[in-house]
Amino acid sequence: MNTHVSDEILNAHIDNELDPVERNALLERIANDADLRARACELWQLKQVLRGAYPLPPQKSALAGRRNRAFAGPAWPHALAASLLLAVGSFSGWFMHDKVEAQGVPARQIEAIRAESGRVVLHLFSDEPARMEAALRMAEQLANTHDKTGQPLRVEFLANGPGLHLLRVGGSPYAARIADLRRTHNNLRLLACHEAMERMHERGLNVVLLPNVEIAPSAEGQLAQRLTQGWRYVQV
Amino acid sequence: MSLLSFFGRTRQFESQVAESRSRLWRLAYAWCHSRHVADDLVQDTLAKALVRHNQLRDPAALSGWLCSILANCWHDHLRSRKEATDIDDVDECELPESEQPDDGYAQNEIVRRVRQAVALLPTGQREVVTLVDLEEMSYAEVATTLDIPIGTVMSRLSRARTTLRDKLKDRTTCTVAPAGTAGTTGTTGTAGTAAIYRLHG
Repeated sequence: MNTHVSDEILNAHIDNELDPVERNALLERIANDADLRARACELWQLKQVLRGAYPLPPQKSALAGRRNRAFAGPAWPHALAASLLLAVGSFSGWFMHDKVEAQGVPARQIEAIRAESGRVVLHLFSDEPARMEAALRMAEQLANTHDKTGQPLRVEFLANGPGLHLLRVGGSPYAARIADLRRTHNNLRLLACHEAMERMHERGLNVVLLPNVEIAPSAEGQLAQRLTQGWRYVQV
Repeated sequence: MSLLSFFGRTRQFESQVAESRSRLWRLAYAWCHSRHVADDLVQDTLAKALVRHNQLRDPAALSGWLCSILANCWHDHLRSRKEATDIDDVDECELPESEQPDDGYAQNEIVRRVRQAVALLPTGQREVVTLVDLEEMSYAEVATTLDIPIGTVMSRLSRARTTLRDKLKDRTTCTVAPAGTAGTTGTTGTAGTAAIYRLHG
């Protein structure tokens, strides 16, 4: 009986998803049915065309794009640090997910930071107003916390991607609050990702950072370094 | 573990991460069609991967694991842009931006057409067809990566390819290739398909 061969089955054939019995049966039908053969060939060619439209980029392009070559170099030690971390490290962090935490960093996480290294990276990768607000609230909360020995926590606030807007002159709705926070807390560093700044420049944005904001060559590298040093991690 | 074997393992992982980064970028670009957004997505993905490394039980599963994280980052990006609540309902993404001459990811006219057609697919379909064709994932791997049933993978893939075929046919003259010029796993025969295919290949 010659039942219609669905597109799903033909796709599964093209993608090598059929078991040998199914494949042989289909091949036999394809050999004797010009229309079916044409459909199969069309799908196969489409697959090749799509693959050809997205060649694998050179690694330098994927890593650094058109960025300043001076900052394209550190990819090796950063990646090495990351691999070392993955090979030998043990780390836990905390991510704020869809629900923006009204209460800031949960008490359990604060206790973990206090009990361990007393050092934490607060990472912002969003320009959603609610997340920016939450990030600042958490920065204040962490900067006002002391570890078990009574020393203030060391806090690094790291912004990249869309989150960089929070630290931009003209892009941040919280410039005064950030200046105040920085002035009153020597234990807090504000860091902007240079790669993210480069991308904003490429988009035509004039990126001027707020006062006392430092520049990290890349957020990824900074994170890898801190995690290997035993810092805790909180992402907003 | 000896120092040598540790170093060897580290170097191997280093190589895998470097390769994964290029593949992740390509996949991210095929989803968003913006170099800048792809850069951001990959960086966010690798940052999350660093922190969650202890969730990766099997080192051989690194690539699929990274793609899962990328998919989550991509969905977060869409939600943050309020482009979608149900990604399968989204009809289009950002259209391919005009490329700069020194882009490094240059495209000719045919490539541009294909990318435009892919960009206009609903998000869920775009994800599935690129994971299958670019990442060469099995349907089961795609289902795991996107956390959807295999049946959904198959139906989205079928719809995606049907749409792509129709869009690409619409934009060029249809010609029939000589018998036996294309085929796979034993398939031979004529291809009643668009010239765009053969021009490309």
